[in-house]
Amino acid sequence: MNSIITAQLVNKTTFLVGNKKNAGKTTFLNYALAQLRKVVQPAFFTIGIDGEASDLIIDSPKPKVYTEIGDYVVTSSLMISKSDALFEIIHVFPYKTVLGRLVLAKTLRSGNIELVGSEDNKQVGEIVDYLRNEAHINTIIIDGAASRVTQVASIKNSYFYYIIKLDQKSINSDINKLKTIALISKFRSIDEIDALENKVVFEIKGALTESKLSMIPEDCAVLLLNDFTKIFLDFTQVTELTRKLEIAYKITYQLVSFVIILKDIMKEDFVKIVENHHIEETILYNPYDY
Amino acid sequence: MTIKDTMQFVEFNTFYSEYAPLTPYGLMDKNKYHVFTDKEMLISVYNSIGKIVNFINENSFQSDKIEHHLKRISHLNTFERKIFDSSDIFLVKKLLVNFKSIVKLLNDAIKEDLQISFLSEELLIFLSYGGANKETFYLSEEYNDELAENRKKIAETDKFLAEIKKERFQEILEQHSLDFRFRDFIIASENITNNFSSELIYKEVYDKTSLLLKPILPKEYFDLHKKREALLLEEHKLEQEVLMTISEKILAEKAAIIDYINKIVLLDTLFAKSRMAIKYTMIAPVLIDKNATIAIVNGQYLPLANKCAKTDTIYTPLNAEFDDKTCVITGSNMGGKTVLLKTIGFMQLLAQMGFWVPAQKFKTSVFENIHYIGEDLSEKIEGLSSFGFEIYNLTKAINDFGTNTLLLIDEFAKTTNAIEAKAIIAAMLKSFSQKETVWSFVSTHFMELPEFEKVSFYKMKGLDYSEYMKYYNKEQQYSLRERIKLINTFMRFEIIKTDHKDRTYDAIKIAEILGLNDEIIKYTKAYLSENYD
Repeated sequence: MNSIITAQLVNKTTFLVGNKKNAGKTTFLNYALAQLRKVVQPAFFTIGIDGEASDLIIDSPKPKVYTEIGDYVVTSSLMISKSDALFEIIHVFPYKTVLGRLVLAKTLRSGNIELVGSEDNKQVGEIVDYLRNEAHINTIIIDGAASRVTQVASIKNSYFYYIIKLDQKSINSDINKLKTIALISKFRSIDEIDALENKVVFEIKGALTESKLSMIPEDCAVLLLNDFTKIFLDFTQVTELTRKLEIAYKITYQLVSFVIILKDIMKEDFVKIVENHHIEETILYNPYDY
Repeated sequence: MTIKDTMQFVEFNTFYSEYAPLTPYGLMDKNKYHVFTDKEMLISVYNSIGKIVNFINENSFQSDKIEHHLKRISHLNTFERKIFDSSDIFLVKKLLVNFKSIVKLLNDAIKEDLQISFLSEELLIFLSYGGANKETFYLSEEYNDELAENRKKIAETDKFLAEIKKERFQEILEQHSLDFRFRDFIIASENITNNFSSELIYKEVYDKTSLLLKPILPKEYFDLHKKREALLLEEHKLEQEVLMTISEKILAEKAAIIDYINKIVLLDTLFAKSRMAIKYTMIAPVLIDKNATIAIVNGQYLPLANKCAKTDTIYTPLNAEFDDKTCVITGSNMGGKTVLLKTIGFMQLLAQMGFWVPAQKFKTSVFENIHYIGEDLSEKIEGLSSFGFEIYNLTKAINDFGTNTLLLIDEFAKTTNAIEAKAIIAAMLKSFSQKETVWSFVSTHFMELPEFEKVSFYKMKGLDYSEYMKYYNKEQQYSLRERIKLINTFMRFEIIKTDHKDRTYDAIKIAEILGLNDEIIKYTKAYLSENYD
């Protein structure tokens, strides 16, 4: 799995998205960074001020992000001052948070760092632009806040891991979410639709919600959305819709893999569920499993 | 000065949005929409633009580099604190590095003109201790020997901690095949964990069937870790001392740094204005005494000229000289009266905002107030009709008549009854012409206004009907777009001096070209011949 994750992340901008709070994104980030450092000097940052107190991979206080020499970190100036690691300031972004301005820093001495980031999609996009074009850092991981799939839309040519924590209590809704993400992340770009000129295309700007379904004309053959993050329907609703028409996106984002964190569910049982639901996407299991 | 309405009237932002300072300071200055009324200061700005235009034309490589350095300047955090953090210091250093590079690239003429010099070499060297990259900042141990010693100890401790961990992880790997090198914990099924050593592995319940395993590190590790914590506390204290020293040095040069920021604003905005001057082949306006004439040679109203260029339509620049301060402009519908007012307003705003102007000559004076009175463009006042709004704006403008004022009045009172409207306009002309401080341009459809001393009458040349008739094919079906193009092709957008008796009858011809039906045209002409000469 180690080399798979490295290959999936190198020279890409990748978001870590979770299905709920404390799904295990930060724990996965630490693992991914440990793998990546063997090959590149990665940059990482988070979206928003992470208020998650714990991480349910381990049901313990939220793990800190560990940074090692050569890493590039985007966080607030206050967090840089508070860290036991040592940093060189590379850039100060013009975005303020309650915990100071956001900075890009290079780690000179390893240690723990608390991540604070912008919640504004435009700013996230500008940070990624700066990292790619000015600082020439090509491997970027963004620890996204829970359930905020919409953040992926801020960056073109980006990838995402969908980290999904399943437990007995919410298994049905979690599986539904997993199936929905698997389904909607596969719809094509509008540019790839054949004979588009002969089809009735209807565009919905913004989110596709249940209440907007009635707006779609009867003769619509292609429903155009900005990207998959704009779909706010459940699996049944999406399936129903795709029986009548094709959904296409202006911008497509690539799902790298699901990362499955199981609790009180045996892996064998989950494999059966996946088979029963015909989920064919790449699945990584908890890298912390024995 | 209130210029919001005039800016909207002349669509100033279509030009202003192209004006692009490169630093956050320059952008903040842009957003203040400064309009200057100090003639000498404006002349000095025009002269500076002249020097920079020459510099850009003759030193494109250096000017590109200056723009590169301007783009790299960030907004500093506040000076209003005693102790700066690393990011504050980084920003100061970055500003100094880039400002120094800019000063080095500028020629002596510009440096002398703008009084620019870099005098903070010593501070910059101090901020570069530790061999940090030119533009980055690092709280180096070179600032303080004790800090150097402390960090050395931390590094040694880190090395020991890593070794202890490595040994313990290896031991666990060999004994239990559990690899903790890249993981802080491992989740494993309960049934395989029975034989794990309780001295090496810590176990806790994860879920009904699994345990969460963590490596147990030796006591030596925790003792060392404690020692590291103490060293970190000491490091923090020493870092604060260094930060205080650096902050004091920066604050000692606060005045110089603020001066650099002011010079950056000046340079950034002047370079941005110069780029516009080069792009649109602009010239410096000529500012004259308050009583001299306003003259424009080939003045381009850029919002329209650019539109015409995009649609492949002919644009006619403005050539005019206005002798009297009260100018009445009449002419056909679609004949360019409003564009004339917009051109004057546009040129005047450019001149007073410190830009060069797109003309071969623009001679004007400085106005303390510029007012547009006409169609309601933005501010809606509940209960006020269009006419009411015009009166409201006129009243506001009259309050400014104590100082030099430019009025751009577009088809005043066109929504009220013609007799009273004409009477008010006549009264305005009489009143304005008696004021030494007021320049007014009044466009109107009303003909045969009374004659007053110091009031000049102009008209737009209008439709060249005979040329149009040679071209027009009655059998052909023209679309509305084609008809508008026809009007623009045969409309002569030139201004000619006339007198108060001049009459222009283009409305019927325009209506005819636009396709009004023959019956109405016929009845209109009959009515005119029955009732007028």
